[in-house]
Amino acid sequence: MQNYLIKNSDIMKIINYLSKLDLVQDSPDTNSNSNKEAFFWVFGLLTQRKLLFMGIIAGIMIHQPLRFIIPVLIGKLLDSGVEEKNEEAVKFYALIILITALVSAFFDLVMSWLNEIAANDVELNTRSIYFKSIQGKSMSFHDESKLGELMAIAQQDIRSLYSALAPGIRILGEAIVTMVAYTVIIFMQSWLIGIIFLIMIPFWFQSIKKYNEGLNPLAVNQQNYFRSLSSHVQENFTGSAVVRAFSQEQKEIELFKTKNNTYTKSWEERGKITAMYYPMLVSYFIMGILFLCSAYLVINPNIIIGDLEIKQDFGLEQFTVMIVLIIQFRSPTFIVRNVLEFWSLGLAGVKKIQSIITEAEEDVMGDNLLKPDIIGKIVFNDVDFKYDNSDNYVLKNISFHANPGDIIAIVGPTGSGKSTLLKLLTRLYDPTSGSIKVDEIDILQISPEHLRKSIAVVEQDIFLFSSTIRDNITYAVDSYSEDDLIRVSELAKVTEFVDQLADGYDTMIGERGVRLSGGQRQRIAMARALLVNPKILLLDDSTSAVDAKTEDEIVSAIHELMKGRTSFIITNRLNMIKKANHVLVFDKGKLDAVGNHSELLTQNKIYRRIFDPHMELPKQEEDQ
Amino acid sequence: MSFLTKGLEEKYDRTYSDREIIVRYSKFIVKHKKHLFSTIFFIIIATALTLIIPFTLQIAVDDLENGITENLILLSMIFLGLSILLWIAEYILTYENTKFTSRTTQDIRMQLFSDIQHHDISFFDKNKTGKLMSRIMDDTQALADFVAQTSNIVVNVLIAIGTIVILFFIDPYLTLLTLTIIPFLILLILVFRKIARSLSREWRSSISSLNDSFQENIAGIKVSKSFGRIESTRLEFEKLNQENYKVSVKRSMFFSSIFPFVFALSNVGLYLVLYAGGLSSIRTGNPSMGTLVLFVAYLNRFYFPIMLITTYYQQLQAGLAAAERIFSLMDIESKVKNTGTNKSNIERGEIEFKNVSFSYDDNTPVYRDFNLQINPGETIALVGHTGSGKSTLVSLLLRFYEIQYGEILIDKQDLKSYDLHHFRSHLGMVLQDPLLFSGTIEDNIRYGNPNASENEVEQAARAANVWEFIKDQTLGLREEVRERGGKLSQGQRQLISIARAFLVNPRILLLDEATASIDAYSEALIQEAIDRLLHDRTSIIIAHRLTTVKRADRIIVLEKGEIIEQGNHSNLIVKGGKYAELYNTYFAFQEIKD
Ligand SMILES: Nc1ncnc2c1ncn2[C@@H]1O[C@H](COP(=O)(O)OP(=O)(O)OP(=O)(O)O)[C@@H](O)[C@H]1O
Ligand SMILES: Nc1ncnc2c1ncn2[C@@H]1O[C@H](COP(=O)(O)OP(=O)(O)OP(=O)(O)O)[C@@H](O)[C@H]1O
Ligand SMILES: [Mg+2]
Ligand SMILES: [Mg+2]
Repeated sequence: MQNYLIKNSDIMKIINYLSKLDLVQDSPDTNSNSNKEAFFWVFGLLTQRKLLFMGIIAGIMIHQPLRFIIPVLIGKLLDSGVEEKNEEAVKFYALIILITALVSAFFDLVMSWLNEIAANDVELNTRSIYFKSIQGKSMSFHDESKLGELMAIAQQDIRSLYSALAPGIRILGEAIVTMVAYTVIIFMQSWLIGIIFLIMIPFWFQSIKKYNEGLNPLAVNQQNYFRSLSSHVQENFTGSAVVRAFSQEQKEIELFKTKNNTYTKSWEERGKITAMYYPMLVSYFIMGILFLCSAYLVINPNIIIGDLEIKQDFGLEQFTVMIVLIIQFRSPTFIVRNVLEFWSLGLAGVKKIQSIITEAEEDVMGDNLLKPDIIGKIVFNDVDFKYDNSDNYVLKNISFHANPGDIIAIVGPTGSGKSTLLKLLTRLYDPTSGSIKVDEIDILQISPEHLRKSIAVVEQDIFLFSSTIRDNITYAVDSYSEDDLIRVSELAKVTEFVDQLADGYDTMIGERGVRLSGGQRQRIAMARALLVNPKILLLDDSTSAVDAKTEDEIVSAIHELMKGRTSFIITNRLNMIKKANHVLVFDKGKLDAVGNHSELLTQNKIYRRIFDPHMELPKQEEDQ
Repeated sequence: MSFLTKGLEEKYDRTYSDREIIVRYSKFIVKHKKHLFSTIFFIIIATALTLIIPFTLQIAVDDLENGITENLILLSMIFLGLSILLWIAEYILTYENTKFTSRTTQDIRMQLFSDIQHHDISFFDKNKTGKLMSRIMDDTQALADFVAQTSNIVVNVLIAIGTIVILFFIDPYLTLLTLTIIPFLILLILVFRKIARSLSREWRSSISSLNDSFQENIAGIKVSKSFGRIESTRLEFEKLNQENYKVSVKRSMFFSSIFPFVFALSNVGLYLVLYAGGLSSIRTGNPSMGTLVLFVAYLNRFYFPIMLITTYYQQLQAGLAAAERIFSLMDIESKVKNTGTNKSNIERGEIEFKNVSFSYDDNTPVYRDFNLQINPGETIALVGHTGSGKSTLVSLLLRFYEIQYGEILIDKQDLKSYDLHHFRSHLGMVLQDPLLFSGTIEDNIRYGNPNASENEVEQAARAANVWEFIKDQTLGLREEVRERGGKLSQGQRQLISIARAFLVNPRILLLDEATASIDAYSEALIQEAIDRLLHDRTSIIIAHRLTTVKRADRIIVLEKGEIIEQGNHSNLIVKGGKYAELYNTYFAFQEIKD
């Protein structure tokens, strides 16, 4: 199954190829993808499996014309059988009709299967591509997107793409073949009516095109509103405790109501267009005119236009066939409506997906990126950094170095850029200017995925997966022994509470670990990082919810463990700082001072402000 | 990462009878019955027209056979006229139907959402966001699709019935012949429905674990990136995707088979009609040629609806299942019930825990027979080992969970007797996880008090020591913070949530590690502001940093849900118990003197 999966780049190749054929016109606005592009994207995915695709086409080409032979055969049966009172002919044609139908049904079956497989393939591929692309996006992308929206795309839009293809392709193919078959059969009855029919067909197509053009923007609208509704719901559920704590349920309900109404309105708007399906009206006219012409012809088989006398062989048999056709002409038009509905939603989804996957990804696995063995010597050289979407520099002129074995403590007021610094180290973001070197190699040349495997992080805002404690601790490693698990759990003081749980390590901890206390979550995150056995350890305020004694024990353990390796520790607590070789003091994005505890205390204002106990407790001083 | 698929079991899915579901659903219909009735009305019109129109053709063929030609032109005009009427009827029918389904869905979704708003926190502990999302977004949609589809089916059932009646009038003998395939059809449907059910169930579970995995992996993207797990999570996801693919292919191949089968069967019917009808026409002149043509034409209209109806059963099941999931979610009984009616203001802010026992899961208790009296205006500090139950105490005060035994009294009145929302509006709190919503800084600060004045917002922000930061932002208060406050540093998030709590001007203030990520200096400033703003208010402060708690009126040391010590700082130090030990350990590391 694996080889059905195709890479994003392949699709881009196909799109490029197609655009060279001048089939795809790039819209001037690169963000809003044209319908055509979306169409070719899907087409590119479909034609990945040529045999399958051709099978579907072949199936349609066989089974559908066969269906059209049936009315002709009925006409024959009636005419040369019933009319001529020929019993053998009746038996013969009846049998032929049955066989034709069965053969047609068989091909229909096969073709439907192929179609389903193809559509599932596309769904599978699109989902893989989408997931991979989302994963590969830079953190800036993730900062800005809303989880609820990304989810809505993964569920609704990919699903609507599926519906666009199955039964979309089949129905579309059938509609086309049907139209061709009609034309042929009508010509067989009378070339004059055939010509009239051909003249009318463009109107039919035109009306469908117009209808479709009206429908597409509405489909896009509807889906946008859906995503927005979805992301509201997502946030509300995530913040359920805050909503309740502040008694804002009513306000949230009102907000939901507005969004829900907007969505419903957009749905109805689309529904109105769908209901006003004027191609059907056009086809009724066509049917009426065909009826009229047939009636006229059957009365006057010889038409005289000027000097020209046109003779038509148009009798009861031909008339009957025409009538059967006219009755059936409704269905292709009817079916086209469903196709268009599916397609408009499908394409709207594809456009959204496309706009996301064509955005740049971070280069995680680039071929020419280095994968050195990391020892842990780190040099920051004049690093500046600002987040993509803001103008303020978060870090400015940062230069320092750290050697294997060093413990670097980072302190500074809120928002001074401490966490950001660590994010640069794991290449979640890259410096705006300046360079970071790990073991003398510029970090930009190291494969992020490789680099990150040598680094372990305990982030400030801990994320745990909705699973068991065991799964969370072992998240970052491919394999582990039970001993390892217990060892790191001891170190991070996880055993202390796990031992009291009925299910031990297999306790489910709920979404983001809601069923644990704050300190318990932190310790699990700590154990998760320690199990990696990293060359570089980054602790971002990782013991803020742990009491001093436990903290001290954890810190000592880490101290042992990280001998000869590099650790960065962001903290507000002195006992962690005192174990550090260097302390970096940050203020408003600048590295205000580097030194050890006692130097800084005497020399650095900010440091003193933070840690001087007199400053720390201004009120108490007054009281005494 | 296959663990993502395990999920939490669906405890709340009760089983409803089909009847119950339909009755429930019909309640939502009532408001929109106008649209339903006009849909039904036009369904009947459209069906009638659909059945009548072929008659014009039959008359034409019959006339022609009898050599009558003068009516042909007129007939074709009638045909066209009726067709246009049909189009209009179909337009109104479809539009009304859309209105009907979209509006009922709107109401159901609204109802579901607001019901969920009234569920308590333990509900959210148990149910993953992803699952709730799919209930409120997808299941409601599935139900809508099903309902919309139903009108289509009704049309077709009517057509099928009408057709049978007409066929009977045209030729009862041939009609009976046609009906001989019905038993086979029913057999087919029965087999179909059995398999369909199990395949659908399988598919549903595979797609939902796939979606779950997607949700978790993207929510935790920072972790997977930081640990270099992108590749391995992708492979895990891919595996689920492939599994879903297999199930989905199986299911959809099965579903797409039904039409060809019904088509084949219907053509056996056609064969019988043509064979028997043709021969009898030759032998007895009955049915007439026109009748035969008409019969064949109508036959088509009989089988096509039948085809649709065969697949309807499956849709019906899916629709009912979606409805059941929706209703069962609405029906969950919250343990915390807002039955209190007391809307008196909390004047004093006295809190008393009386013999309180509480456990999250009904077996390991967090609190057992817990007693605590907090005086009006008192500042209480809670300290204790992680997991000792400090945050739980705050949750209980907020009535996030219901205690199993005992009472909590606020101003001498049982907490349960207060109107929940009214009561909570007197509380200001910073929860341990300082969650912000996407929107501006201002939206977030105003969250608990949307009507505060500009000035009050500024004062709250100043008190929380975050005003300077806000002013530095390009857009000031109107700066976006993004989902969960992702654009801010952790400390900034805490500060803003402190401002949010201040703005409520609470009678009782609850701070759960509110300043844990904030440096001691900023914290001291905030402390000062708290003292100033809320000096006569009752407050409960939880902190591990002992300098934070030193100034509290009373310090309570919790261990495993029990108070092992209490008193003010100096008393406790003198006493030389657990607190003194904690404090000394803490300061052994924190004091700079060495
Ligand atoms: N939603 C929940 N469902 C089940 N158990 C829970 C839930 N929340 C907390 N617990 C458990 O209850 C106990 C008390 O947790 P609580 O959050 O009150 O601790 P805490 O004192 O605040 O700890 P910390 O200092 O780490 O924040 C812990 O053992 C925890 O695992
Ligand atoms: N994803 C982001 N996009 C834009 N700005 C950001 C983002 N993350 C942080 N910032 C801003 O960058 C600055 C530095 O943030 P950072 O998280 O590095 O602070 P910090 O020193 O870790 O603070 P704290 O002690 O509160 O954790 C802050 O002003 C913050 O608002
Ligand atoms: Mg930080
Ligand atoms: Mg807590």
